[in-house]
Amino acid sequence: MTDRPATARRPVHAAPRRGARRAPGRPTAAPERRYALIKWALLVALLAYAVLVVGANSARDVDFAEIQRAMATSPGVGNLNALDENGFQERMDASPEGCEGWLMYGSDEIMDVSELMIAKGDEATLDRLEDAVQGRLEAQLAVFRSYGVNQKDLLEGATVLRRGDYLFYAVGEAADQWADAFLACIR
Amino acid sequence: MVFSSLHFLYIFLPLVMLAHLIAPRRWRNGILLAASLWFYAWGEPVYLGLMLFSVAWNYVTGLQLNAAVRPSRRRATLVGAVAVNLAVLGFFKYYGFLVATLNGLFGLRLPDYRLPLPIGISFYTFQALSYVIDVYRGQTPPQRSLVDFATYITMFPQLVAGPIVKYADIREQLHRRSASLAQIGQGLERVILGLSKKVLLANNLGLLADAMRSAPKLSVLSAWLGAAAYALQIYFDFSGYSDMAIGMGRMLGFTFAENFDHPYRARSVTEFWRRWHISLSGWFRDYVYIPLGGNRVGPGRHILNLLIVWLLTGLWHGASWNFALWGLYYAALLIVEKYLTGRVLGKLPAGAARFCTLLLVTVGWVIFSNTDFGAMGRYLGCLAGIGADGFADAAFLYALRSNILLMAFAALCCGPGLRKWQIRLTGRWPALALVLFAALLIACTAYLVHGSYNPFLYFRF
Repeated sequence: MTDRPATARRPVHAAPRRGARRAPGRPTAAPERRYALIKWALLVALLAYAVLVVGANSARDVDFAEIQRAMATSPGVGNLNALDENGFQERMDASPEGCEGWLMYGSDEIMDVSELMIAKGDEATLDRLEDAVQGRLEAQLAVFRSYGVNQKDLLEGATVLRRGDYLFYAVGEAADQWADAFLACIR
Repeated sequence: MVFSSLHFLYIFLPLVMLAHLIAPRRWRNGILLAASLWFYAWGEPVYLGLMLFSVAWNYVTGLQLNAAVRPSRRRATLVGAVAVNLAVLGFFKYYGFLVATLNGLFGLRLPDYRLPLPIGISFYTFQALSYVIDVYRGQTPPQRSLVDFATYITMFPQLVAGPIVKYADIREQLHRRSASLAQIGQGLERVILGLSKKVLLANNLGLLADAMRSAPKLSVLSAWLGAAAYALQIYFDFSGYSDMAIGMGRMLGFTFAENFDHPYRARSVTEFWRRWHISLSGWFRDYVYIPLGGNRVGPGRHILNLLIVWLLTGLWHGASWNFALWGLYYAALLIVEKYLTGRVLGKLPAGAARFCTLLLVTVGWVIFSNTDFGAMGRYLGCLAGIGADGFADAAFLYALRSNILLMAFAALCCGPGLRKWQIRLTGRWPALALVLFAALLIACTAYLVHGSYNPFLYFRF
C-alpha cells in the first residue's frame, strides 16, 4: 500500500464555508429535512426486509426423529431405500460424521436418479456436505447428460436448501413435495 | 447468472447488447438498469430488495449532502450513511461469522441465522461508499437522476466480481457515451479472452488444485504443484471475469479501469498489490489508508495503519478467520519489505526477486483457500516437508505429466508476451483475429456444454 502523490484536486462541488452568505437559489434546510424523512422511511423498510429474510432462512430446532417420521410418509419416499452410513458414503463420497442427525434415501434402480438427503449439523459439517451434494450432482450429470434426458432434467432441477442447522437435498419427481414436508417440520 | 454460462453468453448478453445498441440514447441507462436487475434477480431474487435499498439510500444521501448547509450536518449525514452501509454489509455478510466466533469463544448461545451471502454485496457497497464520500469531499456533484445512479450501482458487467468502479470515473459516461462498431469488436474480443481464461484455463487448473488438496497424502512436490495450480487458477478465474467486465463495459460504451497488470511478474509484494485487484487496493488506499495518515506518519503509526488496512482487506474477501490471517500475512510482508528487506530486494536480479515474490504469494493462497485451520496447517506443513509423504511420489509424477502443458501454457499467459505477440499478429492479418477468437469461443462453448466443473472463486465476495 503506497501513498498516491499529493495532488491538489480542486473540489468540483465544495462544501459551503462556515458563515458564508447563502446565495439565491442555494439549498435550504427544508429539502434536507425531507431527505432525512425519506431515509428514516428507508431504514424502517430495511428493518422489515431484514426480519422477513431472517424469518425465511431460519429453522426451528426440532427433534430429528420428527423429520424422519415426516419424510418417511411423504409421497414417493416409500419406493426408495433408506441408506445406512456406507450407502451415504458411497453416494455422496463424504461421511455423515459430525451430523447431529441425518437421513438418506435412494433407489436401487440404475436409471432412477431419485435421492433424498437431510442433515443437521454445525456450519462446517453442512459446508462439507453441501460441497459433497454439488459433487454428487456433477457426477450424476456427467453420467446421464449424454443419454438420460429425463434423468438430466431431474438432476438439473435438484432442490438444495440450507435452513438454520439443516441441509436438504432432493432429486426426483416429488422433490418439491419432499421440500414442502421438510419446511413444514422446521417452521 | 454467471458470465461463464451458456444462458448468459447466448441469450442474455446478445439481447441486452442489441437493445442497448438500437435504443435511443436517453433510454440506454433505463435498458441497462432493467437488464442489470434481471441479471441479479436471476440468481438472487430475494436480495434484489437489499440492492434496491442500497440504491435508494445512497441516492438520497447524495442529495442530502448537497442540501445540507452546516458542515456539522454534512459530517453527520456522511457518518450516518457510511454506518448504515457498513451495518448492512456487516449483517448480511459477517453476522454469522461474528456470532459463531463469539459463541465459540465465550460459550454464548447467540442466535445464528446463517443467511446466504448476497452476491456482489461487497462490490456494490464499496461503490456506494465511494460515491457518498466523494460527494461529501466535494470531488463530484451528486447524481440527480435516480435511473442513472441506479445504473451505476447495479451495472451487471461489474456487479458480481468488480472491478470496483468509482462514480467519479464514469460520471460523464453515464450521461454521454457511445460505442462504435470498432469498440464493440474490441469489447467482444476482450470478453472472449476473459471467458477463455476462466473456462479453458482456470477451470482445468482448478481440477488439478482440488485433486491435490483432497489427496489423503501429499509429497512436498505434490503440495507445491497443487498450490501453484491454485495460484494460477485464482488469477485466471478472477482476471478472466475482470476482462469480461471490461469488455462488456466497452461494448456498452464505458471505459472501466484495468484491474490486473500481470501480477505474477511483480518483483516485490508491494508491487504485487499494485498489479493485483487494482480497484480494491485503490479503494482501500483512497478511503482508509490515506485518511488514517498513510505513510506520512511515524513508523509505529504506519505499521498500525498497514495492519488495519490489511486486516480489513482480508476480511473483505470473506467472513472467515483465514481471510483475516491472509490479510495480516500481507501486512507482515509489507512491513518487513518496507522496513527491513526492501533495499536488499531492490538489488536482487529481477528473476530472483520475482521468484521470491511468487513463493510468498503462493504460500498466501494456501492460507486464502483453506477456511479450516487444521487443513491449512497440514498443507503448509507439506510445503515445508513436515508431515509430507516424501519429497516426490508417483501421484506427483502422474499429475505433472498430465498437466505440464496446461501449467506451462498458463505460466506463459501470466506475462504480457503472448498477448503482445497476438496483437501484433492479428494487427498484421485481421482475418486471423476472427479465426482465433471464433475458435476460442467455440472451444469455450464446447467446454461449457460438456464440462460440469465451473466454479467461481470470487462469488463469496
